[in-house]
Amino acid sequence: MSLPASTATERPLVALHEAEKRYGRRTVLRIDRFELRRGDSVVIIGANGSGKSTLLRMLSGVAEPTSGRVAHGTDYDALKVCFVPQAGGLLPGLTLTDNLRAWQRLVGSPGPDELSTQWYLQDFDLQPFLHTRCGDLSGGFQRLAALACALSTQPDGLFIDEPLSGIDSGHARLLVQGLEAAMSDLQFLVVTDHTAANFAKAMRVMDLSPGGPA
Amino acid sequence: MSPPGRPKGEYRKAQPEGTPMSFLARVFARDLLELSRSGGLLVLLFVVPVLLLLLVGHLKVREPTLRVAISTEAPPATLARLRSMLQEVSRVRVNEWALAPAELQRRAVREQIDLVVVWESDSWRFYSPLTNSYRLQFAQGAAQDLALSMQRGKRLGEQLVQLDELAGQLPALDAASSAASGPAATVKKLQRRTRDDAALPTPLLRAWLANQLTLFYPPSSRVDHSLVPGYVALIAVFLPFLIASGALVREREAGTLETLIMASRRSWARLVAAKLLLPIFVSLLATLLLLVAASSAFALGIKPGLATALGVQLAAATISALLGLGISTLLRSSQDAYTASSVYLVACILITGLIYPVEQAAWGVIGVSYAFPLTLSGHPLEEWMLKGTGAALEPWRLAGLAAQLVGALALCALAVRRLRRSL
Repeated sequence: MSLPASTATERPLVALHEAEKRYGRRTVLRIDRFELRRGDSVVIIGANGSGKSTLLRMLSGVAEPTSGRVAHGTDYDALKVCFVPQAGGLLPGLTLTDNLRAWQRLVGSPGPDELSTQWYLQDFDLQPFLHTRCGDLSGGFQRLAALACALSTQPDGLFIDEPLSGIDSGHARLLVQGLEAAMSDLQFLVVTDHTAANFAKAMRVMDLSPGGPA
Repeated sequence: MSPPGRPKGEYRKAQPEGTPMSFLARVFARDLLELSRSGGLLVLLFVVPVLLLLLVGHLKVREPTLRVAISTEAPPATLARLRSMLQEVSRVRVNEWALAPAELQRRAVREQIDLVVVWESDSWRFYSPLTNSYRLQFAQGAAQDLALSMQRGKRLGEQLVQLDELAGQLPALDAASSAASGPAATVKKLQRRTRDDAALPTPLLRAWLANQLTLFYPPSSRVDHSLVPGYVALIAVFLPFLIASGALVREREAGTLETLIMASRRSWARLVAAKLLLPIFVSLLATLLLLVAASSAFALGIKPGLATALGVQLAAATISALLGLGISTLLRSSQDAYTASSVYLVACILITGLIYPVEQAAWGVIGVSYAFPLTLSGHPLEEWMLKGTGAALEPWRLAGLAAQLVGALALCALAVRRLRRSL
């Protein structure tokens, strides 16, 4: 499967070339060629088990291909990149404030001085839970809290695996709006979802469904 | 439109470049924060082991056996005869060492041997390792008598000590016993008779008593075996394994492993090094607390100094943490990690010499035992805490720890490589 090339002309941040991922004898993903460049906003769509998360993990560098090559350029290594997995992403024994600070420290970001005024905490209705253990939050709020943690690090690039999974429609709309607005400050944004409709403003759509548009 | 509270361009403000060391420090601070927020876990890691130590310290073994060391540098036939003679004497434990007399003496002091037997000038010489000036020479033919005398001398010595204690408890009766009757008089009579009996093997008896009074440390404890040093060494290797074995699997369960990988700039070496810091720190802190408690409660000091003792335990803790981290890459859940830690604990207790010495086991068992750092780190601590000042860390133990460290590093690297491919 070949993905649409980015319109940018500078060197790619990440380049996949004939990358294949197998778990045991099962091949879950095969990509002939894909490049991620500065300014890209990509939404990867596909059915369950189509390899969306695997592709996201290979692009970010969390996972390695079984065969083929994934090259991360020096420009990519200089960026502050966050990965938000499909589930979890929080230390359940810590409060939301502790988790926000822990993410910021880990990524090496000073983070905002005043947490409670940040848009992601306001839009996601997380302010009342700043001193609540994340393990005690509902599933939907845990998902939003993990996204808030990533955003609080003021990243250069974001990989988000199914950001809308488990989130009610009201918060989902605010999240999409926030991410679209954040793109003006991000170097790139890559998300996965079951449909491209949720991220209508994404520059590129990668459909991993069998027979999907290349 | 920019969302409220997030002015455009805010992302570009101060972004400190991460160095490998600062990444290690950041992960350590994060892990420490998580640990500090769990009061129950802190109690289990640092308070409960100290309370257990206070209980363990009262478990003692007084071994009535007379310990004899024989230099094997003697004619084989003569050596065989002495060996068979000593074997017939119950309550005598024989150690055979192929050492020169001077080295034999040093080791005898270190291991609290009661009597040393060396072959010099065509005869066996017996002496107390404590008082080198006090030597006895026996003709070869008298060895059997001597062995029997040793046993008898010890028994008489024990009786004397008991009678002396009994006499000390009866001062009032002693004052009232002018009529040469009553319990105090009986005790005095028994004391006199026992001393007369003991006069036969007097030199041996005195040597044995001297050993009893001076070689054990602290002298008041007069114990041959105490579980305290082994317990401290066990905790020093178990805690890092316990924490490290859950380190990566817990991150996977929580979905935070990806964050760590990204923050490490995809350097697994840095990630592994960072995840080693908390287990080692916890181990060192717990060991320090236990050593202080042992010193305060049982007067079990560390002769070569705290730094040396902690240095050896640090090496063992690092090896344990590496093994735990390697195991962590193979496991699927925290439950698996707890089970693996339990198995490691049982193995440490049973086959590292903590309870039974491994030296006399089959080669296979000895080989397996030396895969565990406790086999090498426990014995020096026991020597330093319980025995004489001559106790030193044998170079081969240090070399063994270094070899274990290299082996654990290699195993951990292989395990991490496997994890990387499976992600």
